[in-house]
Amino acid sequence: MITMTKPHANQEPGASSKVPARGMIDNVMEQFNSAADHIDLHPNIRKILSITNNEIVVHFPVKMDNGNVEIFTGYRVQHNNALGPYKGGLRYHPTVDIDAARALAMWMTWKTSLAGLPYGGGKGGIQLDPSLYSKSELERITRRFTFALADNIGPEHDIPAPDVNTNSQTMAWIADTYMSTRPPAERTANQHVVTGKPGGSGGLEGRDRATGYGVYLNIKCWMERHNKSLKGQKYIVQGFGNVGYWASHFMEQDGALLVAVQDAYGSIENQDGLKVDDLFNYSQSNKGSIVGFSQGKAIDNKDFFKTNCDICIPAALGNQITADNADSLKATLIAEGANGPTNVDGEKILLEKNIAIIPDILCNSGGVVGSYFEWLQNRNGELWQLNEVMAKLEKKMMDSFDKVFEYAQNEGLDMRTAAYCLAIRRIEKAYIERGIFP
Amino acid sequence: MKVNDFNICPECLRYKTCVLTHDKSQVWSCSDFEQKSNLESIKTVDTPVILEKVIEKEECQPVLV
Repeated sequence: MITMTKPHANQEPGASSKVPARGMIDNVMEQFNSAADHIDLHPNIRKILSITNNEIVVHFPVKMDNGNVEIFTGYRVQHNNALGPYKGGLRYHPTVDIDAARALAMWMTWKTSLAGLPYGGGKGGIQLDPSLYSKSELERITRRFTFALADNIGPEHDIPAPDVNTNSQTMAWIADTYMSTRPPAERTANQHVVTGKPGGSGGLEGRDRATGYGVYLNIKCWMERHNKSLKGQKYIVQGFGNVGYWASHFMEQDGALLVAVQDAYGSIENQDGLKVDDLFNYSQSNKGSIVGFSQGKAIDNKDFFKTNCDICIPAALGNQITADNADSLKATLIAEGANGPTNVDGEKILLEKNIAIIPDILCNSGGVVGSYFEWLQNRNGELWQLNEVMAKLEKKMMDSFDKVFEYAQNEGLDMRTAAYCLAIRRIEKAYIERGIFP
Repeated sequence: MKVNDFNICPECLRYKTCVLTHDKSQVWSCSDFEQKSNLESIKTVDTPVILEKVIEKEECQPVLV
């Protein structure tokens, strides 16, 4: 299952023309195998989960603004649907292909399973550079892609969501196109073919803060399990985007102190605390950059993870905590708001130092739970209010945390391995109960 | 299962200046990712084409009396 580079046919044994750095995808696959070994996963079920159910490739023509026609290639990989419809993002990017979508679809399977949702895992997108197209061209590309996918997506079959370079507008186009292809009387009953829609088109109140709120709740639960309060705890955040900001916002409301932040432009620190909303307003007025914020002093980017703190929230990108810096971390808890911020080597060091990690698959699952609520809301013909959404999210997230924490304690595992074990076991149970057709 | 490298950094507006990571070869999601803008691509790729189109249009304009 793990193949990143194929040796050339004429390559000498042991020689390697390309040795890629370990990526998030390798880590996910290693975790799957490790957890599968730990729970002694039935070999037949391991076979099923090691391969994707369906891989759809569509080539479709779109008329450009200048009258020319371009052919685009779109993908949708459906990894597993033992627990329910496939669920996962659609990304528009030049490097999207079926291979890239495979591992990401598999990761969605574990994530939805762990969150206790009635979903499987999927991923897809279109191979294109969106910067080269006008908005009306992107609309036609999206609509034609939706038409080309036809019944390979559907509200009870495969439910896409926003991902890299796609947003609520993209989802609104997909929903409108898909609904237009249904018989008139069924159109409005198909709004939940996608999630992440704009508020006025069936989107969920509070979807913007769902992931950050989930990160905060996981930290809060961990603290409670260790008889600690968030009040006075110092935390650092890498990435001050949607996840980083909202997680910080809720942490501050509970009395925790934001002492350092890093974004794409630089790093700032103040051990007396940085006011979260002041920093957010500043960055909004400073082209999205936190650099120059008056309440903080600039620090060397290399030293960011060495900052004195109790909690570290990497909420930007993968491979940030590695063998190179894990030893110098001061935090006692890492809450993974981003996907794959701690690599395998870094994690080994952290665990040896008794630093706890709330794994990404659990910690940042608030987003997909929010998507589930949007789907349910549309499916039931309801409109949920913000306080309802937040209360439901809290219940779901705390339930997931408790299960992982208790399983880890009972089995003597770290939380990541425990999370993968639980996710895989839930799918295994479905297969055992149902059997394999025929 | 075959899996290829996948990386979003090269198309990011902040690719050259980003301080979040030195390893810009394995990033598949990022909070600070921002696609290079249409404006930038027009400047670097499409400007000559657009200028040509404008000239063609002007040449084809009927003379209104």
